[in-house]
Amino acid sequence: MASKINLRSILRIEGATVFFALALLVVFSSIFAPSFLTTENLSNVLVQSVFVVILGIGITYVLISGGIDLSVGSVMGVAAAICVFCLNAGAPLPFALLAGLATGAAAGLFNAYFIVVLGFADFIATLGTLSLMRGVVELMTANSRLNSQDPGFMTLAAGSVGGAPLAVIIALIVALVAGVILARTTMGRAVYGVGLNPKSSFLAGVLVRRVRFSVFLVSGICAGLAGILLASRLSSVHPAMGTGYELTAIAAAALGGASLAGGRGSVLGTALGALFLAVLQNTLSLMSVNAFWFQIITGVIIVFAVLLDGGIRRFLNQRSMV
Amino acid sequence: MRTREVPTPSDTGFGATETFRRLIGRPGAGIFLFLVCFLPILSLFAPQMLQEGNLAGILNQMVFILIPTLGMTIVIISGGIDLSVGSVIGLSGGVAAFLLTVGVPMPVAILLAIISGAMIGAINGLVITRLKVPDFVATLAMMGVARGILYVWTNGIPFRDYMGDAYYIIGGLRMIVGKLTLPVFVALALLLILTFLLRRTHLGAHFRATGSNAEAAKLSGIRPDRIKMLAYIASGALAAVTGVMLAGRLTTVHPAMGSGYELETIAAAVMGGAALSGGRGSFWGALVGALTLTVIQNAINILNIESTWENVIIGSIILFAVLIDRAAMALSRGGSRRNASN
Repeated sequence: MASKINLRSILRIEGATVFFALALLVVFSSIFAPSFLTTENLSNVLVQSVFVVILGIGITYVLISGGIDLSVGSVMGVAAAICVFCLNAGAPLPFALLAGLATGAAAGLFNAYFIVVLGFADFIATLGTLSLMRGVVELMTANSRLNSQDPGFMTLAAGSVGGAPLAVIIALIVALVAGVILARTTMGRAVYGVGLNPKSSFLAGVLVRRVRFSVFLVSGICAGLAGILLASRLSSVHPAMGTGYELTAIAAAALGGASLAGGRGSVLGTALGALFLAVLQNTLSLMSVNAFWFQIITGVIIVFAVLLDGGIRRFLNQRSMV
Repeated sequence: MRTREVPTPSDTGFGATETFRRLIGRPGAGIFLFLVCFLPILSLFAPQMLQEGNLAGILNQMVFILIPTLGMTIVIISGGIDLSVGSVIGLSGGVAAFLLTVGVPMPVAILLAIISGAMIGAINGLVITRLKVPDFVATLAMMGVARGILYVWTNGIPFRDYMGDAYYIIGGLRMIVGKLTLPVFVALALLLILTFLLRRTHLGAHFRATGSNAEAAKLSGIRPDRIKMLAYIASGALAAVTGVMLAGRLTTVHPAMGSGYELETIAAAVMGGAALSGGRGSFWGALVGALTLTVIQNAINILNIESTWENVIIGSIILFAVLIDRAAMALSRGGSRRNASN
């Protein structure tokens, strides 16, 4: 009996499913891909996952509130382009970084304005922004690639603090702050409330419009940060930068237990989901599996993860009713 | 929910204003008005825009967006979304091209390609209705899987050398009537058949009922799961039709063929007045949406605007189009509150 209760309480922890999936995958990778467990490779995987982790955290806020944000990949590109553009124009590094973050925030506000104030469906508004922002990146990089060899800027992705890559530390801090806000503050709980039932949240005194506005702002800022980090890693911005990242980030959130219907999800789950995708990709390439398989396997795994999550929830509900 | 408006006795004979209100409340009417005003203004800057050859060119190009948009509209009306359309276009085009290169007769090859698209749609439908995976996640996964299969299968190398004489006609590279190509007539036939099904049979009502309120639909004897299955199969099959024709138009099937079509078709469907919350949408609206997207692309070409502007313009127009549609809806509701209960 006691072991059953333990299993239940463990499964109840947010992100437990994806954690076990990740653990299984890591065991599998260590056995079948011999060079997986080297320090160099592991730190490489972590840095590789940082962009999707940060994007995914923003997306998680939006998904929990019952919305969707398709624009994050393009916003990443724009924020990176603005940041590198400022650097090349001779602006000091902090200013350039702020400009990049502000670009992300502005894109988030743009989405929020259309969705909350003008009442657009979020799918369409952010689809419009996706196209619009991609166009801006293409315009900004039309004549030449935006390159930056600024040593300070390169440090963001390449530097390390006490052996840990700086980018990973940044992602950890973002995840901690975002996770604590979501799980422990009134504002965070309001996001869940809005996603579960906007009407009763409104009746309970939640400023629903303000919450919906803020989640898109958070998503924009996260996209801006992820874009800056990616530009730092690539030391350049190309026209297609960030394309497709929106779907990977949504997949990471879905793996981590976020529901597209709103009301469910967690920062920890999404971060583990993003890590899972990064480890999967890394393992496949270490095992020199044709890179084309990655898409197929990811697709199948996403469906399985959602199924497993649904099954576990049914199991938990059944038990708690008895 | 918008049902077909049945004029009650008190509604008839209200004259021009009322008719206008009712027309402009139709899905996609707002953006249609926009298009009608937009074309002549554009032609002031680019006189060749309205020439016969260019107009036919717009039509010939437009159908490649229109046909998958018809499928997307069915899915959206029934309350879902299909992100796998672009990958299905690529994969079914690949199936047709492969079968032709190994010497399968063309009608069989085309039929098998369309069946493969319908089967992908059926898998989508099964995963969504039986396994209860959300539409977005299921079709997103299928988008990756179908595209991945095409890449693994071709190893990244395009299919070539499958073009026969007849395939030039199917792909729309030869004109058959005036300056129009076969795909235009295929699209027209599909549009008429689907409109008939949606407007004149129970099936249309079942799609709308499922999209508006699946629970209520179930209670009134409709099987929402079956209707959803049907919607995804239709979407897959229509995407496959597009894939077969696109393979002809491009004369090679690159494994990336069709990517991005999913978002373009969703944009066209929504510009045509389809509501992502389900229950609302029309095929003529889809036509207007696809036409608007194509006219914009055509104008960008003719006005010699750098192609880098294309994404900015299309993004703005999508946002603008929804605004116009909302304004039109508001206008139509403004004076006809008493119709609201219909």
